[in-house]
Amino acid sequence: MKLWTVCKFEFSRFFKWQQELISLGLIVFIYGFMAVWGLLQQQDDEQRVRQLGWLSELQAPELDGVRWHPVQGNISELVQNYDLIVDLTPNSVQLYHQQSRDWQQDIARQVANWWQDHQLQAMDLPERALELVQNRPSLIWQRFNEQGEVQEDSLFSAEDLGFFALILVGIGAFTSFAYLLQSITSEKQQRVTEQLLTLIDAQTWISGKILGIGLLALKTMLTTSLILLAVFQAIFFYYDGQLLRLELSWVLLPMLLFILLGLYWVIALMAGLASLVNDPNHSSKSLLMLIPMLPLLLSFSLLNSLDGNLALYSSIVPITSYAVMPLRLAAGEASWGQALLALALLLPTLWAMRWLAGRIFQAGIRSYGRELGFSELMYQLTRKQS
Amino acid sequence: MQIQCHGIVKDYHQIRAVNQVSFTADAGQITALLGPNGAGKSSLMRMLIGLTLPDQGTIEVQWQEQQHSALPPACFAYLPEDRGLYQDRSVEQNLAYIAKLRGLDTGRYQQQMTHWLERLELADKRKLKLSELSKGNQQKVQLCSCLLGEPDCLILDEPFSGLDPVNQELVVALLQEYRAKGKLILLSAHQMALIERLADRIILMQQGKTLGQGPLTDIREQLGDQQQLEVHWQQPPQAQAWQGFLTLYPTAQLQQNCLQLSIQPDCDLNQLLTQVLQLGQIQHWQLEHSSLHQLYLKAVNSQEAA
Repeated sequence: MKLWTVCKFEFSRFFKWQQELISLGLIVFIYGFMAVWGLLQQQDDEQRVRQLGWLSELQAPELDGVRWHPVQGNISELVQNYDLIVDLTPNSVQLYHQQSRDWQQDIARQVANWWQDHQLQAMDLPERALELVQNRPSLIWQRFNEQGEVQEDSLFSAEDLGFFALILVGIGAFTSFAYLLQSITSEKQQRVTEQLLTLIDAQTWISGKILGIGLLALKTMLTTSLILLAVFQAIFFYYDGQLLRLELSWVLLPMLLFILLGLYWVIALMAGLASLVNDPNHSSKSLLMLIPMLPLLLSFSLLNSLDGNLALYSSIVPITSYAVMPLRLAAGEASWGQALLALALLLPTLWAMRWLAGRIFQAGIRSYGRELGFSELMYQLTRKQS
Repeated sequence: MQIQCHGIVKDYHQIRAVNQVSFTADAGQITALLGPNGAGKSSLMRMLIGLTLPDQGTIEVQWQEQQHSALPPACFAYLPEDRGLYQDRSVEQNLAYIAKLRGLDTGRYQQQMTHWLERLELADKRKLKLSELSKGNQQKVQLCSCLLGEPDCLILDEPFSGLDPVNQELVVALLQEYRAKGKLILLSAHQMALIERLADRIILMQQGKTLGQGPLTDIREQLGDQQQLEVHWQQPPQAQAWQGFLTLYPTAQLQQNCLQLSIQPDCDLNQLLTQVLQLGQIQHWQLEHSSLHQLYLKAVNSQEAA
């Protein structure tokens, strides 16, 4: 009961509806502004009168939206009046300009393609040879699922889902880091500690904190994924005229389980370590809180070698499994047995971390005014509890 | 309810914060811990509420026909020396949180919150954040948080800190009412005049030790306090008569036409007053004890000198 009271208090302390709505509104505004700005830029680009000079003896090509002015004379003088001057030589396309613009690259590419076509046609090649030279073979990928059926091509694969999950865990962990540091150090500085410790024991307090801050982290992960999803959908729809097809499968469930259990012990340990910090501005101990997040960094480096031994072992070792196993599950590299073994090792680790965090918290939260030294902390951790 | 401490000792990093302190505090009484900063009052309170353990000695708490080695959480509320509430939360949110942790249901704590906020003249500030309140009002909110659930025991570390005289009187009246309900109140304070009026028992501490304890009369006795006689004559006494008086009462002091004399316990008051009358026409006189403030200074200074 008291645990949920602390949990709700911690959640509501940092969760503010108004700020949430303002943040969402700002994101929508920024996205809308960027979209409108892009359109305006495109229109501006299209409407701009460009002065293009054609220096070559060859007849200028007809390209969409391009109008050439035949020019002759000194290049250094001509570039002062033209945005781009093109001169075709037997082996190259020469381009002259005073200022660089993105559209110049586009025109240069079109001219080069036109020149290549022009030269090929002049060689009087057979039609089949001409076709082979001009068109590269198209690559067609086809994927099969575990049942041996052809898998419909998806723009958002399971592997992408693993990467996306890793990013979200990172967001959740860093969110928790910030909230925990603020929550616990302010409690120590405002001397709330003594009052609360007369009402609840340290273990209940930290457990409530872990749950409350954990829920905040999940909320942040959820809103971030929804926003990212909306942005991706909009981008895909804009460029491809279709929405992203999401590949949802059973693998999401064990992935989610590993992520939740991992986040729990990461937050628990960070909460314990945060209690050692008196003033975040003058203490290096807050850096200790980053240690539980190291497995996340490690798993990013394993993204391209999920079938390797390092990925296999780190997906089973309980300290790293919460970050690596979801990746391997998403990529289809992990077997059920490996997943179950990793889970069986993760659960007691979770319990041990929660216990350790509670002991650190119990010692750290009472030491206001001065920070606990490591030797004193070790003494507090190893002594018999009263 | 009763708290009994026997030979309590507490060391912090080779500094003895509390040294062989023994005392008893009873229900229906206000017990005051007095002493300069660093005397060990807060350390003693922390041990009573179970935040720290004594290195030596025992604490016995009799509550609801059971004996405990520290105050059980359900029976007391604690007001820490430094205000211990969330500055970024409103008065209402702070109090609701404390009340819920104390196990009060919503209906009960809402009713009590309204009552105590009105009693402490904070009703119009319940929606404000704690950081928006003055120091004194924050202290009253802290006191309000202690009163929620009306626990059997209040442990108050400097409850008058930051309060103006009007609010000090408000809190004095409130504590007197609370005592009248048969509750046990243990507090520390530096406002001697208030404690003199309020406390049933006093524990005078310095450098972790008790210099004296009990009702004020007992403290006076323990510290060898004497009554002071002050006499104002219309005119200063004649020199020869004054010399004669001094031979009988060598500690007497004369300042113009005013006599000051500490009365020894074996002094014959009838004889003294006869002698005083012979020195001249009395304009005004008074016989009184040292104030708690004077006693405190005397005890602390003599201990420091020793």
